[in-house]
Amino acid sequence: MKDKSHIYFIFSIIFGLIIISQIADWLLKPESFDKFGHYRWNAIGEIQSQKLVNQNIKVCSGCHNDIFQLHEKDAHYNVPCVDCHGAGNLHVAFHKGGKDAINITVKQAVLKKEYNLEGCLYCHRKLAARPSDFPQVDVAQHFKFLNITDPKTKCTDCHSPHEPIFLLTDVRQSRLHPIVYRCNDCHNKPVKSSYSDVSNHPKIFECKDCHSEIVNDFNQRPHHNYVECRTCHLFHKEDETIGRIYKNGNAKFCLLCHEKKSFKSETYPPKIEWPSHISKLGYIKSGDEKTCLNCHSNQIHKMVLGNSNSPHKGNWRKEHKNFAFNKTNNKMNSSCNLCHQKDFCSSCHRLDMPHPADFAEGHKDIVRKKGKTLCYNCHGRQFCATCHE
Amino acid sequence: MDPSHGFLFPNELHITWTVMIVLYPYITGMVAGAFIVSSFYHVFGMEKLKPIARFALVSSFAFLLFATVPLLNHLGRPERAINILLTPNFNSAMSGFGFIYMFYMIIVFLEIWFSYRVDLIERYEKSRGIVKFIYNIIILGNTNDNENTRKYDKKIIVFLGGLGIPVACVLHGYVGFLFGSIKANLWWSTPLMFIIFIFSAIVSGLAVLIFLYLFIHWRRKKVINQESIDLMSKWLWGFMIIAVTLELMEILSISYERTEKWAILSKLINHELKISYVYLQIGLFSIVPFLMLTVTSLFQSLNNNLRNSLIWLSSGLLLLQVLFMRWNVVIGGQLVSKSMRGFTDYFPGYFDKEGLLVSFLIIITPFILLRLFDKIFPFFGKKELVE
Repeated sequence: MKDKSHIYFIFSIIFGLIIISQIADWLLKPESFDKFGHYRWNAIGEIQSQKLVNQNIKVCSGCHNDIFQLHEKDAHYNVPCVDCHGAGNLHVAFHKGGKDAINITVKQAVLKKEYNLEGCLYCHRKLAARPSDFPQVDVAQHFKFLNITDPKTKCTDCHSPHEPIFLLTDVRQSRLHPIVYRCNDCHNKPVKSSYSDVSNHPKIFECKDCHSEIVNDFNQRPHHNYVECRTCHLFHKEDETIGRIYKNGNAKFCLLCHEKKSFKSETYPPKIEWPSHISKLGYIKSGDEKTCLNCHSNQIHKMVLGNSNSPHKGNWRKEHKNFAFNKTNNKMNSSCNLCHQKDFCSSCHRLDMPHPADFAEGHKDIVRKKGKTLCYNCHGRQFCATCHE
Repeated sequence: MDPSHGFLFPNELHITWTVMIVLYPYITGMVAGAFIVSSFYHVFGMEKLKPIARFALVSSFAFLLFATVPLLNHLGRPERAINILLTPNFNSAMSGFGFIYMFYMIIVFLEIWFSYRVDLIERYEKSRGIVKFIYNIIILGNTNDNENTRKYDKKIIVFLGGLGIPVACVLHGYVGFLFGSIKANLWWSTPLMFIIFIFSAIVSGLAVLIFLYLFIHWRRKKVINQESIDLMSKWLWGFMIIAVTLELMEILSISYERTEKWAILSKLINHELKISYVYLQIGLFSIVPFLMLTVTSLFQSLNNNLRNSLIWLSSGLLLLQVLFMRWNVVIGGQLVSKSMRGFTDYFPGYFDKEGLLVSFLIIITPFILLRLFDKIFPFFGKKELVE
């Protein structure tokens, strides 16, 4: 018996540990565990009684109304603030002040900004399994198309997360439009020919089926080589029969491709310095968002640029020259000044308008600095030759 | 930049079972394999394995203590690990593993205690102060050592070893079962999975013991027990043939059946896993050690130094083979889309929470622990020193 004592002892310890673990199980097992399943029933109530940490968009709009307005009208209107900024409870409590703010540091109150490349791609990465009408980006292709040289470029370097595609019309008030298909809604690889060239192809709507005149015109213009109708006329499918179409003529939308940035190659597409290209103001005036089209619509297709809020009718931007310059007395029409400040003209012309009296003497420097093309905006190409031969 | 290829559902883009889940069956495999090797001596009385039997047992224990570390790192909140004991769930396959693990841990601990009892009493009597106190706790204050106690201890060891073999097989077979029973995963779902896991466990157990035995003896300039190493290397040769053949036959079977899943699995093997599976696991880490072990097993006239070098090299390559096998199973299975038409990509990162550096640290820790164990439970006698 003595020679087996160590065996009994160690097995007794093991047995004792099992007994202790059973007692510990009995003592430590949470109350209400296993009441209705393999979980703690009381946890349900505890979770329900927790204070909300995710802040409703209305809470955010209370202080950030300007951003809220942008966010509401653009494509991200249905993406809640918390998706990118996190819960926001500490941020709100800190800025509201009072008792709740006492233990919150400034650092804790700063909201995160999930604006890095991966953050955006979480929803927008191109995946064959996503619905084809959901905006998706193949980063490599997108960067190649825009000639972006720095692969670490963030989406937010061009797109504003609150106003990602700079829509001029509120998303929910945009025009309803029958379904428009693109070839790559079904085809993986780019398709060059039209569906109508393929025998027995299912009937689909293409833009040219209804808008042949405008499409034919577009096909003659430079943009045709790089973009398609739906690049600017964004279409969002709402169900199997209908969607909404957004006509996007916002200058900020044009700048997505055409603004000079350090991470873009200078070669292609043509780029401009912004906002010095158009004005000294540094911002676009309300109602003047289509400013690029005023001069460059001929690069896209024929269009009527009338502004519904403007008292001037028709293609006023194109035609105002005849009104502003009175050929009879060879003077500028002073009636412009009744409504517009003097710098209103210079915001487009990039010059003091009308030309000051000593312009002829000093115009050499201006031409050298800003180029002859600036003159051609108003004057014909032969105009310079009238003096310079 | 873009991790998706083909038709991939958005929730399949990110691999959820990371390299930590690769390490977990890898370490568990070494636990089970090393224990089975120790049982060859303790249970089946293979005297040729006596020099390595206790080393195998302690190695198994050292790896066992760290087998769950990758899981704790992967899941986070390690303080909740105790909940599995407080609220056991017998309907959960994962939870079931916890009980097998605990049962196995007790068996290994007891077997080590009985195997080393005589040595520990001897050390207790020779030591002083705090070290004597520690040894006294380990031997539970019982210094009774005679013919009878040794006879009883041996009987208990045989009993525990005998009980341990099926439990070790279940331990690692269960890991294979966890993968094999996931019917939604084309690459995992096969009843052969747990058999492949058991054999690969024995391969990794044998390989790690041979690798460490030869390395330690070379470092300490001790005489190598050639009979023991020869026998182990032959078994390593045999078990690796079975393990690799089973895996390849499984592929052959799917390939020959040409069921719908073969369309995507063939792409997985030939494209996504081409380097890690075809070139490395099968090519470099299976065929090369197979050829080397064929030479050492069949050509008896080979010089011992050359033979041991080849065996050591083969065991190292086979350790990598099993690691790559775990990678190809765990990661490979998650690369395939449930649509059977696409793949995702995976790279663990270098310094991430579940990255390569952390993986390396987790793998290396049981080896460091083994070095410390050697001071308490010396693996090899002093008589083997080179004269």
